[in-house]
Amino acid sequence: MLDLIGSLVAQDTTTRLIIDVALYFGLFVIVAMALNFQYGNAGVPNFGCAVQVIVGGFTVSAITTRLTFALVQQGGMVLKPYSSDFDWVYNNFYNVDVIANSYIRDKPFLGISLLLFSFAVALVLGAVMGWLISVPAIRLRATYLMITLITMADASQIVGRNIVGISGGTLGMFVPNVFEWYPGDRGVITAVITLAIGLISFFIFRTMLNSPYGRLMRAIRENEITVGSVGKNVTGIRRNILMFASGITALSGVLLSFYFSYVIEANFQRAFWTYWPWLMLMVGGPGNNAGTFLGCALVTLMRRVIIQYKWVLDVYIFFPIAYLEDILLGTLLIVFLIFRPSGLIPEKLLYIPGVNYGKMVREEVKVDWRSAPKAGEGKGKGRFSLRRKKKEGET
Amino acid sequence: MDYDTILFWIMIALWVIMPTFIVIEEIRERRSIARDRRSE
Repeated sequence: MLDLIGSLVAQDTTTRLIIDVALYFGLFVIVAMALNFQYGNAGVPNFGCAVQVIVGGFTVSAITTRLTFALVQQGGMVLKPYSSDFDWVYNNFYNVDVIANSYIRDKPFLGISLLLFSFAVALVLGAVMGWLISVPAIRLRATYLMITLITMADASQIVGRNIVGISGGTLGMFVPNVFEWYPGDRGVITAVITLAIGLISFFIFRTMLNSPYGRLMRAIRENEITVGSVGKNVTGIRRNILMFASGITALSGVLLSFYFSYVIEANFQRAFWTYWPWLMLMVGGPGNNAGTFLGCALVTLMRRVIIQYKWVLDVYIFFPIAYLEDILLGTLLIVFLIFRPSGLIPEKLLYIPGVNYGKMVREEVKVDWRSAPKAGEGKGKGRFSLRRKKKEGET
Repeated sequence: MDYDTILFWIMIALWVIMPTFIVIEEIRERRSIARDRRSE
């Protein structure tokens, strides 16, 4: 524990603050981009982002840690027993900090491999979780889908709290520091990797949104009945979107776990990992990446300012000051929903380089509505013909 | 060699590059859409 705290205060406060803000910004960019992909472009209101983030965290605590222990034992090191729940929690610090971390210290390749392994497993498990939550929920209408996903976010936290073998239950557990080989501070390297993954995920989402699949997603968002009527499997497409975005979201859970070198279910609260990304999306503007980015930057900054300076207001406020952040940001969400539902940067038309949709529609679909017959015109036997009604009334 | 300082500045660079790139792209797309509209 002292080693962890020592690592966190190794740098001066301002630098630590900048690193912390950068890391959280990167994490929220990943989650909010995925949310924008689901809700902003496909109309899938995912209120279960916390489920996917928690999957990433649990991947590290339940799978990567066990794999590291197995590798360490194969390397000839002796670990304290960790098979029972009691041993898993109470021998965890010794096994991780004393044995596993010292084993990784001179093996950078192993550390990087464990990191990549965690990413790969989290992507797969995140996608599997996306599929699992889509099974009962994807056919539901938006409101019911949201309620189901919120419930699942809570359920996953309860599972983590009660099954000790996953993340140490209520006590949490340390996870191997995959950056132990790095001579400097773990926080900086984690923040750089997080921002890099945020940038890569932006490119991935941008490419998908500019592809024909992206146009299909928008079509589903606008009118899923029309898309279904032309032979597209709307449910399947929504499920694929949920799975893909879930996989990407799970990466942020992995990065958060490695940043703290510690996993506890309380780190993955529904309010934090679901409502704040939603707030970012609503502030920036759903349906466009620039808006999501702006929303992430503003909300991360506001959160940090509130956390830093809320103690100044402590004497003036009648409620516990710890709730100030939630109250202010919740109020902000309501204000945006009432006065600016399209966000600071409203959604624009899709732009595909070299394609002018307006021109294309006019040239290729020659529909002249002026020449089409009007309803009830002609013989007077139309469905809404006044003359016919009068006749019927007479008889 | 102070790796922390190097990585710190890489982090700042990433932090600046990401929004800059996105804003430039957004402006370009909006301009192109406006140009298409004018040409119609």
